[in-house]
Amino acid sequence: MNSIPYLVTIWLFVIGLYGIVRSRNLIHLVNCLTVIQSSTCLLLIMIGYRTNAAAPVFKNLPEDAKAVDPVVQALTLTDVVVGAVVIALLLAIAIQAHKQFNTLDPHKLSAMKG
Amino acid sequence: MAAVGCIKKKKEKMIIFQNIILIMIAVFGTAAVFMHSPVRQSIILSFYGMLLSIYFIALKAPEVALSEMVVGAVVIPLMILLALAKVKSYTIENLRNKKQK
Amino acid sequence: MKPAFSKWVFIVIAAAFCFLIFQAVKGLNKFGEYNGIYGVTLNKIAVTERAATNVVSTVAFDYRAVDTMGEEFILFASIAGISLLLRRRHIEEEEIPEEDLPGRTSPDTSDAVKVFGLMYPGFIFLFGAYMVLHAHLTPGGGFQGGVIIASAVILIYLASDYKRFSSIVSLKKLEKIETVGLSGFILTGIYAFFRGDSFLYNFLPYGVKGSYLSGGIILLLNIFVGLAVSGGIILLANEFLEQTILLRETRAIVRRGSKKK
Repeated sequence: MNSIPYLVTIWLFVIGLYGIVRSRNLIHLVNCLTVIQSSTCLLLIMIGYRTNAAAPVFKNLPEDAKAVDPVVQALTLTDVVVGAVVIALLLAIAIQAHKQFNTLDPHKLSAMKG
Repeated sequence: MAAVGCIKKKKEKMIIFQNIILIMIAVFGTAAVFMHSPVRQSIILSFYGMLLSIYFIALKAPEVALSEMVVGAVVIPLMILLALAKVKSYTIENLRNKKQK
Repeated sequence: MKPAFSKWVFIVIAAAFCFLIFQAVKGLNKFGEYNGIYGVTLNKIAVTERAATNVVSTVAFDYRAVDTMGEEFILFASIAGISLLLRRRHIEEEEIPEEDLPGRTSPDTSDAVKVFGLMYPGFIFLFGAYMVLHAHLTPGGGFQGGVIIASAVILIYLASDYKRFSSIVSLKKLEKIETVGLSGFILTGIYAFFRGDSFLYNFLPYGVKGSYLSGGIILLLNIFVGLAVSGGIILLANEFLEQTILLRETRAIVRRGSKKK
């Protein structure tokens, strides 16, 4: 294995998936999805890191100083925003599901009614 | 010579700090999944967001750290707790309707 | 499928998934040794080209501004979806919910929270506006500052009750603010067409590195994004809060055409 920090990302992903598979409450399921989404942000930032480099803000630094990758950080900004907003939408769907079926158990919501 | 030794100590301390925060992130992520009550999960998720933000600062990404801090502290716990409150108010209403039938 | 059986099925499949991901992660560089060409080149030339010291903002709002436009669209669409999902339908009972046991009110907020809610929203609003307006110089930006501004308004709800919050916040004004933010972003991009450049080209003068008016279009786009995000998040909170309120004064139940499901 070439680096240990990437393993933490894989662990968070798999444990979030386990939470989704074994969840008995829709809101618990959405929280596990939050853990999965944050693991992807973590992986993106870990890829762009350079040891002993500075942050990509060049106010007092010379322009050829060693700095961390800025493109990956811009990608991660979008990832964080989209993740938060999708979680809010899923919570609204969970509220509507409870209103219709009077239960928050995903195993009981599987029957489709005509 | 002393300056080089001082810089080496700082770099080692930074690596130790990064590893400690990484282990805490793994532990809190696992704890968030194995909690069964969504109210407790929302508090753990807000602390998990703060830990992620500190780790992003240690990896020299300040703008992403600000985003994650703001999302993890304001948006996520607020939405979860408000969804729970709404579900609970519907449950109370349904119980009351059943009693009056 | 019984719960215990599904647990073992998941563990077997997760093991296979982990094995595949290991093979994929082995191809990545070692942690801390990034040497891709795009990031290294951008660090060297972005400050001389655009005279804005925050390279991440330059990448997000100038070189890859189309991605940020897509992100704003996703924000707008999902807030519209939430408003649609949580709307009040006419066939539902218009009922003001009361507490379970008669004669019980929910506890008032404590004095410390009230003082906090009196002193702090102005400062938090100022800090959020500072973060939006200095996006091209320091870490920060439209999204971060927008959510901080929204949290100042939500603090007012937390420290008092829903009546005061809804007297400050009106749905039409919020919708207008959010629409101005999003359409300003797109119109700035379309204005570049009239000058003969490509969509979202940086047409304002670049200025001197480090001064306040530098970076061209980055400050303008950040202001629009800040408006859109702050309006959106307050709308979001308002949607969720609208039916969970417990009006502590009224005890009467008003039913209007209830329909049993």
